[in-house]
Amino acid sequence: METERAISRYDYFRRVNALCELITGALATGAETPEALAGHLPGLLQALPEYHASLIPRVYPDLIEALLKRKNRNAIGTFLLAFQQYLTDLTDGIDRGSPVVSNFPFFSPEIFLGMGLVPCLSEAVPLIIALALTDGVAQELDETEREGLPGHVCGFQRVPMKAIEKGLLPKPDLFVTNTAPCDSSNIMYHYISERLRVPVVWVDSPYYNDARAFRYYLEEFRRMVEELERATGRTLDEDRLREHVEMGNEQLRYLYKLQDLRKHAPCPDPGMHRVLDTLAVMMCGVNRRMVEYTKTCYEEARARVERGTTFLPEGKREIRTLWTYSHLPNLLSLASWLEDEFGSTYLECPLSFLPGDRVGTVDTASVDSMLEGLAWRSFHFPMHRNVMGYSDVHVNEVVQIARTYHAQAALFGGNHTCKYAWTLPKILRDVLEDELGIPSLTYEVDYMDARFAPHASVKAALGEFFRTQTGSEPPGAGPGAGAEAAG
Amino acid sequence: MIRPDGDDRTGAVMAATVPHTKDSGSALQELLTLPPGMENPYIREWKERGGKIIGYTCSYVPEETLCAVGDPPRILPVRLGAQGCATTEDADIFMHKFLCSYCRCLMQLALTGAYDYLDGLVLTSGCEHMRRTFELWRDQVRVPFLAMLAVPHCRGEENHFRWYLEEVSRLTDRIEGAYGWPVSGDSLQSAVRTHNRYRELVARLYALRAADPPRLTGTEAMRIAQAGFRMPKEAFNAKLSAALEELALRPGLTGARARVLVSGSYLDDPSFVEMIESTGAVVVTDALCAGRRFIEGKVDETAGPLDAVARRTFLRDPSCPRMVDGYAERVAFTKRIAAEAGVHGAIFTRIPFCDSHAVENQMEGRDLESLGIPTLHLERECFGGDRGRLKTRVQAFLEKIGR
Amino acid sequence: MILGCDIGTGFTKGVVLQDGNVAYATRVETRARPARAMEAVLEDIAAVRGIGAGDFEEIVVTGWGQGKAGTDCRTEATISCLARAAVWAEPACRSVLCMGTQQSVALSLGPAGRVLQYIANDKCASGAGKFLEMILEALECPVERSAEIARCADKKLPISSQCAVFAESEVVSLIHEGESPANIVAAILEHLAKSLVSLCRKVNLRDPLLVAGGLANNPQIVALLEEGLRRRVCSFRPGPDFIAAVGAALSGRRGAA
Repeated sequence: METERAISRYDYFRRVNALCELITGALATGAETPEALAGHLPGLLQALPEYHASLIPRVYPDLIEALLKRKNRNAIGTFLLAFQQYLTDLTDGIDRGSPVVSNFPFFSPEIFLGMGLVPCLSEAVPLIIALALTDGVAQELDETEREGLPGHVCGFQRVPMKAIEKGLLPKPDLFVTNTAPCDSSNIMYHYISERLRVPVVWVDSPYYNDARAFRYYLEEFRRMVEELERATGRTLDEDRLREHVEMGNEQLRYLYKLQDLRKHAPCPDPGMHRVLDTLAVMMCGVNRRMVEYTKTCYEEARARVERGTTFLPEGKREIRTLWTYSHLPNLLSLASWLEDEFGSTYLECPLSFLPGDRVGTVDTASVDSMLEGLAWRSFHFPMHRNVMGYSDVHVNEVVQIARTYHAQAALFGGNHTCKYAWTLPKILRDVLEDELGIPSLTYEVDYMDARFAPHASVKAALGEFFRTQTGSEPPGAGPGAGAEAAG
Repeated sequence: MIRPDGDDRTGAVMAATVPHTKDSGSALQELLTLPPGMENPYIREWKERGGKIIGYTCSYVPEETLCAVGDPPRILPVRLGAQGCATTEDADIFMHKFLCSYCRCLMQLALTGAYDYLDGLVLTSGCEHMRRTFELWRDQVRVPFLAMLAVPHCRGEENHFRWYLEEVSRLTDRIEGAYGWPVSGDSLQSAVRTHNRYRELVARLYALRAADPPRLTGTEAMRIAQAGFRMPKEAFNAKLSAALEELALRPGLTGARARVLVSGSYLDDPSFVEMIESTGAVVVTDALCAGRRFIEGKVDETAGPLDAVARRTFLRDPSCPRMVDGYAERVAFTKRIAAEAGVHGAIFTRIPFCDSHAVENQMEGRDLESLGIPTLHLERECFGGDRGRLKTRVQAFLEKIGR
Repeated sequence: MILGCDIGTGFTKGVVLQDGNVAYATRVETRARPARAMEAVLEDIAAVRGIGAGDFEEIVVTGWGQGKAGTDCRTEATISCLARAAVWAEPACRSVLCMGTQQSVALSLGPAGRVLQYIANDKCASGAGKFLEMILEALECPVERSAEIARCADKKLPISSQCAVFAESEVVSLIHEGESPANIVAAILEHLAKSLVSLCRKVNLRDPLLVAGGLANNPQIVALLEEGLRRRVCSFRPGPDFIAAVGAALSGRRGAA
C-alpha cells in the first residue's frame, strides 16, 4: 500500500499548504477587495481540492481584506510562494527518508541543509495557522492545559509539542535548539524529548553578549555540528552549505537595505509583512524564493522613496511608530489597519530587526569561516541578542532605533508568556518619554491565542491610543461645577 | 494538627512574638525562632565586627567561596527569602504581574528597606524572573556590591563547567577588588569542611523528619533550615548538633493523618508548610531547592578546593529544572526520598508564572503517580494569604487518598 | 448645547453642556445594552429637561460602548476625554486617576492637558470597581455603605491574592473564620486602594492629582489613596462619575466652534 505523502499525512502541513494555495490563488485573480474576490471564488475553488474550500470560512476576514491591498499583496504573495517551496522541500525530504531535525526557529537552517538534513520548523508552521485561521491552534493549546501545562507556558512551544504528539507534525529524529530564549522553551523541549524519547542537541546560550560569550557559543555551535554528524551519519557538504549561506547572505543584504529605507519619512515599507520578515529570518537561506521575498519588499520600498509616494491614505499624517516588543502574529492585519486608520507606520520591532552593522553577512571562504559566521548570526538573532543578557541590550537598541528612525509613538504589545519582557514596559515608557518625548502604549497579548486578547479589544486599545495622539489640544479651563447630577 | 508542644499559634506569629534566645537556652528553640535581617543577632554582630553581608537567591551560588573570603572570614552569605512580604505594590510599579511573586517580593522588601543591611548581592541567570530582577536591583536599590553569576543551562561538556568555574573565579576576583579580601586555598578548604559537616547535620535532621514517628514537624524543619541560611555555618553546625540531640530525646509525633512530601518552586515560608500540617498531615520530607536538594552531595575534600566546590555546586544531582538535562536524576531523587520517608502522597507547589516548575511538577507528578504515589498540585503566591482555599484543597486530597 | 455620553460597562452617563457649563447630568445602568442605555439617557433628558436629541448641536459618545450607541453621534477617545475634562475642572491638573467598573486608568498630563502617559489595569479586575462589587456582594454589603462599614473595623486583615477570583475565595474563608464584615470590608478597600496606588505610580505622577470614576465616590477609597500616594487628591466636579461624559461634551464644543 502506498504511503500517503507527508504533505497530506501531517495535518498541519496540509493546512498550511492549502492556505498558501488559497491565498496565492486569490492574489493571482488580481482582486483588490473581498467583494471583487467573491466573484472569482467559484473559479478559484474549481481548480483547488475540496479541502481548501473547508478552510475559507475559518480565515480571518480582515486578513483577506488586508492582504488583497496593493501595498501588501506582493510581499504576502512572494512570501507564501517561498514558504510553500520550503514546505515542498521539507515534505519531499521526509518522503525520501532523510533525517528530520526539528530546530529552534532562530537557528540557522543552512547548517541542516548543508548536511542533507530536513529542517522542520515545528514552531513556525503553527504560527501560519494561528495567523490565518480564526480557530487557529486553540485545540492544541487547550489540550495541553487540560493535561496540566498552564497557560503561562508559552504557546509557541506548547502547540508544536502537542502537534507532534498527535501526529499533526512529524516526529523528528532530533530536536536542535539553543538554550535561548527562555525557561518555557527549555523546559518544553525537555518535556517533549522525555515524552517522545527523541534526543535534543542542545547549544548552550551564554548570558552576556561579549567576546567571551561568543567564544563559548561558537564552541557550542561547532559541537552541535559534530553531534549532528554522529547522530545522523550525515556530514557537512561544503558546497551545499555555501549555496545556502550565499542565499542567506543575499537575503540579509536586502533586509539591511530595507531597514535603512524605513528611516525615510514617510516610512516606505508597510508593516503587515513584518511577521513574515521574522519567519524569513528564521528560514534564512532556505531557498531562492525567500531571497525573492526580501528583495520584493526592498524594491517596492525603494520605488516609493524614489517616486516620493506613500501607501498611506491621502491626507493621512504619518505617525512613525516603533513597536518596542514585537508584532502580533495572530492579528496579521493589525499594522495595515493602523496605517489606514491612523497613519501609523511600522518602523521596526526587536523581533524582526537585525542590526546589519553588527551581524553582517557570513564569510563563505571555508567551512570554518561559514560555521563561525553562522554562529555569529545565530548569536545575534532576535530572541537571542536581546534576551540573553541584561535588559539594557533591548532598551538601548530600542532607544537607538527610536532616535535614528525619528519615532513618534511606541507600542509595547507584550506576549504575556514572555517573562523576560515584563520589566521592560516601565523602563521603555520612561526612557522614551523622558529622552525623546515619545508616548507609549503597553498592552497584553498572546501570540498564538487570539482568545487571550480578542482582536476587537486590541484594536480598541490601539485605537484609543492613536486617537489620543492625533486629537487636537484640549480647550483649557472651564467653569467646573454645574447643575445637578441626576441618577 | 500535629504540635509537639501543644502550642497552636501560627508559625508567623511565633517568629514575630517569641523573643530570640541567642546562646541563652535551647539550641533548638534558638534555631526555630531566628529572625531575618538586623533583628538577627548573628547578622547584627557580624556587621558590628566589620564583616559584610552578601545576599544570594540561588543554589548555584557556591556559598563556600563567599565564606572563604578573607582570613578570618569576612563575608556572611545570607540566602534571601520572601518571608514577611504581604504585598508587592512598590515592586509592581516596575515588575508586571506576569513575573513571579518571589522576585516581586524580593524587590518589595528591597524597596521598603528590609534588605538595607545587605552589603552586596549575587544573583544568577537562573530564570528570566531573576534575570530581570538584577537590573531593577541595580537601578532602583543600589546595593554597594552587585554581581551576576551566569550559570550555563547545560552540564554535559567540559566547556560548560569551565564557563561556570570562570564565573565563580570572576566573582571572587570582584569581591577581592571591592574589599581587598582574597580567597585563599586554606580558607576555602576550611569552608569546604564546614559546609560538608553542615550537609551531614542537615541530612540527620531529615532523617529525624522521615523517622516513624517523626521527631519534628515539617514547619519546624523549614524554620531550622532557614536559620542555617542566616547565620555563620560554624555556629549553625554547633547549634544544629545540639538541637539534634534535643530532638532525639523528644517523643515522636503520633497521630499524623498522612505523611507527605512537598516539592516544586522555591519555598521558604514555614506558614505554608504549617497550613498543610494544620490538616493533620505531616511533611516528612521535601525536594525543595532550599531544602533537601540543597544538601545533596558533598564537596570532594581531597581535590583542589575551588574546582571541587564549583564541580559539586554545578554538577550535582538533583539539578534545578532550569537545567536542560538531569530529569532522570531529579525524578529518581524524588522517588528515593519519597520511599525513604514512606510518604502517602506528594504535594507539588508552584508559584504562578514559574515555567520550569510548572512543567517539571507535571512530569515528576506523573512519574510518582505511576509508582502509586498520589499527587496534588497547588499554585501559591509568595506573599502568603489564600490559606483557606489551599487548606481546603489539601484536605480534599487527603480524603481522596483515604487518609 | 452639546450632549456628551460615556457608555461604560456598568453605567452610561450623559452630560448636557451649555455655554461651557454642565446644565444637566444623568446616569443609567448599561446592563450590556449600550444602545438601550443611550436611549434611556435621552429619554431621561427629554423627560426632565424637555430637550430632545435633535436639540443638541452635537452628540459625542465615548467609553466602552462608544461604537454601539445606536444613535447619530460622533465618537471620541476616552483617554482624550478624561484629559480634557480634568483640565477643564482643574486647569493645573497634571495627573488623573479614573476608577471605572471594569477598568481603572491613570494618566499623566503635560501642559494644557496633553496626555504624556496612561496605563490601565489590562485584563485584571482587581483594580476596578467590579472587583469591589463582587466582594461586597459576597458580604451582602451595599456598595454605598462600604466606607461607613469599613470605618468600624477594629483589626487589620491581610488579603494577599492579587487575582480578584482568589481574593473572593479569601473573603469567603475569612467569613467562615468568623471575621467581622467591617474588618473584611476595610481589608478589601485597602487591597483595592493598593492596586490603584501601584497603577498611579507607574505613570510618574505629578501634582495635582484628580480622581474620578465611580470609586471616587467612596470616601474611604479616596482617603486610602491619599495615604498610599502621600498627597492630597481632588475629586472631579460636578461628580466623579461624569468626567468622561464631560470630556466628550467638551470635544463637541471644539468641533462646533
